Amino acid sequence: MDTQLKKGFLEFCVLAALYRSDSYGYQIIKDISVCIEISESTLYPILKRLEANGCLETYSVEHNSRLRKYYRITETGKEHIQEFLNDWQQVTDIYEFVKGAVEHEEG
Amino acid sequence: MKKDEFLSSLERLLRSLKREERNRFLSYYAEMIEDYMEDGCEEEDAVQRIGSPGEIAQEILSDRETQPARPTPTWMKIGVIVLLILGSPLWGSLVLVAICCALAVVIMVMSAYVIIWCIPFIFGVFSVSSLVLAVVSTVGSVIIMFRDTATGTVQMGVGILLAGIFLVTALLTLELGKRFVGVTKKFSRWLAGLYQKRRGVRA
Repeated sequence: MDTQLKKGFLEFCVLAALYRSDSYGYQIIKDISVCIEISESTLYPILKRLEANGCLETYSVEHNSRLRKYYRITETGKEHIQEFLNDWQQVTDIYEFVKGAVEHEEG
Repeated sequence: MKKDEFLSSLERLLRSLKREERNRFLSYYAEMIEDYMEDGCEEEDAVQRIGSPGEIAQEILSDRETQPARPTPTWMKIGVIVLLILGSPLWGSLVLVAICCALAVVIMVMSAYVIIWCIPFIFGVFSVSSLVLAVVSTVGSVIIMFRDTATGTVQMGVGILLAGIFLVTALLTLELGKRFVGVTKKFSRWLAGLYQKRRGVRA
């Protein structure tokens, strides 16, 4: 997939993974990998950006005598997901437009 | 590669970052490796899945470079303007002092040149005036000679003496002029050197 496109989608995938429950880095990667490929080094900047935008917040939990960083989605993050879902009609319109142009050429 | 090796090598590669930021990256990757291991991965296997420290560091550093600088928030801009206005009595006087200092230096340098060139100038004035006097008194002495031979002769002697003084001072002026051109050049070069040295320190 186009990297720019993927970058945008990954953001929503991370938010969606957190929508179900709070999670930590490794678990987020495992959850997302079902639908889209993501590496550890790609996840970090996304988490950082989402945190900077106020879409998620972090806290640490002790686990097996070490600290694990957990991420929690905020109300802003939930609204962000909702916007993405609301925009979907527009995305399909764009898809149809592009597809229509290609089919017209072929036909 | 072991986890500790990976982390210390990543730390070394990220030393250009602030410590706080670098530690955030390190704890993120440490946690990842530990979670992989907890999930049943061998330590070396877990590190390999994360990738090489070189590539990760490069990605982090290039990502930082492309990040645009955060725009200054409006309240901060207003704050800066207010501070500038409130602080104007302080920084205004400092700026004035700086301008005055700069002017004083320029004037000092100019007067140094003037003082240096006073000496050949004085000799020059001597030679020009003695030339004029020599011409006037020699030519005049011819006229006086017709009326009073003794006075005329003395006058002519004075004229010739003045012509001699002219020759001597003219030669001295030329010689001093040459010397002072040299001195001026050296002085200017020294000034330029000072300026360049200061720029060199800054660069």
